[in-house]
Amino acid sequence: MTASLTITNVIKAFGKKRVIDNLSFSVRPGEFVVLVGPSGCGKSTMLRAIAGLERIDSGTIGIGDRDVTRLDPKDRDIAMVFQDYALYPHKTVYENIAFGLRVRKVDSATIAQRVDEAAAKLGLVHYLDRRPGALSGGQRQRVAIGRAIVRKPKVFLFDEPLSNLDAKLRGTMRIELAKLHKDLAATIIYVTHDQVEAMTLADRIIVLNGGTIQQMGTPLDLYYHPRNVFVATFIGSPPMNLIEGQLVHADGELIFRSTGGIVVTVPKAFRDTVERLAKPGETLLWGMRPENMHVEEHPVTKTKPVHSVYDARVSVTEMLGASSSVVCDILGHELHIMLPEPHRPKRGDIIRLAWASKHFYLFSKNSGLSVSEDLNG
Amino acid sequence: MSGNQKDVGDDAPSLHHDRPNWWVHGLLTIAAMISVFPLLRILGVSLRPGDKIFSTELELLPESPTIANYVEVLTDTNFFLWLFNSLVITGLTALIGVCLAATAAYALSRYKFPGRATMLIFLMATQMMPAVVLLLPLYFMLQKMQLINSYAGVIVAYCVTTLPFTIWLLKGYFDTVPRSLEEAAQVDGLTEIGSFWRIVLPLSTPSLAIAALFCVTQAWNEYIVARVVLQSSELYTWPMGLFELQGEFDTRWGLFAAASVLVTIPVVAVFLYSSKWLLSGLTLGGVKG
Repeated sequence: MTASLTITNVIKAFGKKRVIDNLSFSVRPGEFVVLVGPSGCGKSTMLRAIAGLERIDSGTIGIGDRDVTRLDPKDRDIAMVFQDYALYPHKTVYENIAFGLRVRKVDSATIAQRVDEAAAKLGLVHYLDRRPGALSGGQRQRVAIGRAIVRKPKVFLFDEPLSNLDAKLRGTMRIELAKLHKDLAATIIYVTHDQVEAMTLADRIIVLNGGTIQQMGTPLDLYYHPRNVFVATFIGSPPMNLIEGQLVHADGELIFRSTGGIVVTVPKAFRDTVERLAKPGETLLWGMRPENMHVEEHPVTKTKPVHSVYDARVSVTEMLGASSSVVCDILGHELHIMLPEPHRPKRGDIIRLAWASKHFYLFSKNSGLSVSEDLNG
Repeated sequence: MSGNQKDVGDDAPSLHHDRPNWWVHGLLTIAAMISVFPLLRILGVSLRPGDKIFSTELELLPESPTIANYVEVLTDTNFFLWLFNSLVITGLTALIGVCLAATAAYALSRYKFPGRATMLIFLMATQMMPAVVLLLPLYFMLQKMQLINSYAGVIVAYCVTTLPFTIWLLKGYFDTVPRSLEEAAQVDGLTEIGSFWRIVLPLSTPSLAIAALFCVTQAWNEYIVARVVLQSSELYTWPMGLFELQGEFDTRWGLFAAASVLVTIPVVAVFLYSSKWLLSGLTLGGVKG
């Protein structure tokens, strides 16, 4: 029932602007792939092209072993859940869910059975006689999903399905979607601009920007091994801090020194790669994740290395409950950090911060590419 | 300062809610009377016996009212023929007019093509011209197409004159129907035309009803074009038939009035029947959003 999806060299332009620029990727049967990127990155256009709602200028789209590039949406055996739900306002919930089957002339006993199944799965049993206008946002979203699953299509397409819901409902629906994917074992392509949705739902994430793929990989891959500055700052919340500086050699160590004077020793595991990839004298960006800074409790002693421990002046603190999001200033660099309980510094407080992480991110300022890991081969 | 504002704030709602606005109601009543009066006069005249027809009395129900005029209209004239002709022409005008308007409006609403904006403005511009200006060219065109003296001739003429308004009306409505509904329908298995037919049109019944009603009222009451196009008396519509009652030296006002009352009934009935759509349709465009 589920099928693979193969996108090969797809190009789509609106006027002179290429919104999809030679995109290729493939999705395994049963895989949950999230296309993520800022608005205008081409993710929705790509999804609509897969659905057949948008004609592509060149390239091919294959579902299973069938080339569907020139087929109408109805002949592609896909189902799509739209951002605004796109429920038929003049039909009842039952008829909305059944519509795709009716159009395909499925006999009414099968329709009734499949609609009941879907309604039970989605908690819509008591709403089947209502019209969409009488439902809440979350219920409408469920109907839209119901309409997709009764068809048992080869590929499911989701176009920012949760973006019209409030934050709490979004969290619930996210969990339900994850469950649904487990139940159906279906191939799902999911478009969102929300990196949290991408991280929590995806088997694999494709980060798009400017119509090209920035990076593809599992959520943790992208989190720990971002290929470039764009991915590094897009994945992770709050986003990674970028600190400008240069490499210097001292005491036989390779050291990153920021323009303000923050000093970080390049960890041994990364040293060879950094020396190979970073051009001599090049301006670099050190990527520091907010969650990789901690408050240094112990006084600095001679036995501990003095660099990477700094006094920071707090300018903003947002209490999030179990943790606090803190904006602070170290040597003229404004940094965003996350501190766990019990640390709740107030504005104007001076706190002593230290950086510690197994992961080390260093990027070329010029190309934006990682120089701490060789991910471009 | 703040005290003043408070006073105004307290008084303003009571002005609107507690006391009826006599001025507005008075004006509305006068306006309603002015527009209803001629209709009541016609009704009154139609019930007058023959010797009272030129009476200058103003009472609505004449002394010794009679339905003789109605009987005569229905039996001694070709009233049923005129009515039949009018029904055929009006019905077909509404049907063909709405079909053409719906498809044209859909294309103008959904597709971008060269000349689209110009076409919309051009359609609007034709509405600014009095219909009589079109009469002569219309006559020649219909003559070329050999449609003079046929139902088809008047129907074509009526459709042409109603289309600009109905296209604008329906385009405005289709613009408010979200595109994603059709896209969902296409993913569900319909063709583009199928999604127009099974999703967009059923959703647009209020505006389709308004468009049809507009065509009906235009075609039902039209006289000048019919006069020019229809020449043989068996094709006469009721307005032309009514004119037949006007002789060279005298006019049968009683019959005239009775026939007028009779032909008003269908339009009023259609209007009352469709008024709920009319009202919901007129507000729909604004509320959706």
